[in-house]
Amino acid sequence: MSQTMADPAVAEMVTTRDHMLSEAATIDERIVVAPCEGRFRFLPAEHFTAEGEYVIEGQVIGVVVSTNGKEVDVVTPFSGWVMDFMIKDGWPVVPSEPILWLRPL
Amino acid sequence: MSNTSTSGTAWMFPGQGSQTEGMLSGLSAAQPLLKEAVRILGPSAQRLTEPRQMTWSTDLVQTAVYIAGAGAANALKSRGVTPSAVLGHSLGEVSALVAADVVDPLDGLRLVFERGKAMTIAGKKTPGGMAAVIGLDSEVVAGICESIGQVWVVNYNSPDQLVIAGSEKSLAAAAEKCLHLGAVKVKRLAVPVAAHTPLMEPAVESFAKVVEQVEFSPPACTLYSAVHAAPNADPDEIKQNIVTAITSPVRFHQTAESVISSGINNFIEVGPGRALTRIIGRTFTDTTVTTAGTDSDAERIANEQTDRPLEVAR
Repeated sequence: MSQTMADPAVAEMVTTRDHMLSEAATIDERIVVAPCEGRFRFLPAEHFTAEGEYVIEGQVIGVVVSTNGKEVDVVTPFSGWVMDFMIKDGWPVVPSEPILWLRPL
Repeated sequence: MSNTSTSGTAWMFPGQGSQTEGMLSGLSAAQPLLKEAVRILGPSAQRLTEPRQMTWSTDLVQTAVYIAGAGAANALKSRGVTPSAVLGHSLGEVSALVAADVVDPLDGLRLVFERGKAMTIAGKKTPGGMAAVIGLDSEVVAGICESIGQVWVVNYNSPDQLVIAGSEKSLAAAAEKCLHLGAVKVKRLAVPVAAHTPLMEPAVESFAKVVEQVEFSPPACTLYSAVHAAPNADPDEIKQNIVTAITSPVRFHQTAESVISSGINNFIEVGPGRALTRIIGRTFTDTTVTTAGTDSDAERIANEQTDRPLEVAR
């Protein structure tokens, strides 16, 4: 059921809302970052976290395989809708490198 | 051409989300309707003839899904295949009306377009969204929604696959609670309105006026409504149901149960994609189910129907 499509009505609503809030603009989005250096890996298919999913604080959203081969969980410190991943499976990461962004409640 | 009787076969029509790339190109029976859509709906519908669906608005996606469903139904009928029952998922209920000869295909086109327009306008007045909840019992999810308010269960697809819809805040709150109570996943759907909820109330009056102007005939086969998960033969009640469906949950699972309890065990998903095929195949293991989204599918079904049972797709 997942699909991405732009809806002009929504685009218009967002533009209007952003305009109304322009004097008190805040960024609602949150970034989940890499806990250590290594290669980022998605979770197995049954636990895979994809764009559009809701994640809860403390949930594991992937792992970083560190340079010594140890797997370190990537845990989200926030709850929210996953908007997008900022890296792909297998990409090298350094500590605090952004992995995904999400929109909190 | 054989005039095959398909006694014991239900046709089911998918809704938005089932669209696939090139869904209208492999279906010659959809072309006349596509031409009419461009003529009636104006220049914006010209995009329906373009292969790149990313440029389509929600209204156009819905129109295309309808055309694909109604076109596929025509492809089957022109080969002498007819249903004994029809049911639809969300906007697929309009395609089902056409397949059951309740409304003319052009009137169906108008209904889908006006329905989409009315829901978009309602979405501007009362914004919201939708999300699929996987792996949590419907009663639990319904309880969560009730405790939060302004969020509802809107699609009963299978016992462990539901869709909830509501205001942004309530939807996120419900998602959070569902995950805490054991849901495997909660995933946002790319639908920019809270369809099938009371938030769509502003769409009801304008759509009801359009429905009133369209002639509805008694169905040529058993027509199931996903509003009540029951058959309906009265044109006035069918009209009422198609309007009520805008603010009511899609009880697809319960409707399929009703179809099966009537003795029908064969299903054909008529239209693009395989979403309903997968749901039926996984949920009701004693059924046979196949898809008819292209000319070649229709040809295959027409040829197979008299010889052997439909292929089981799980």
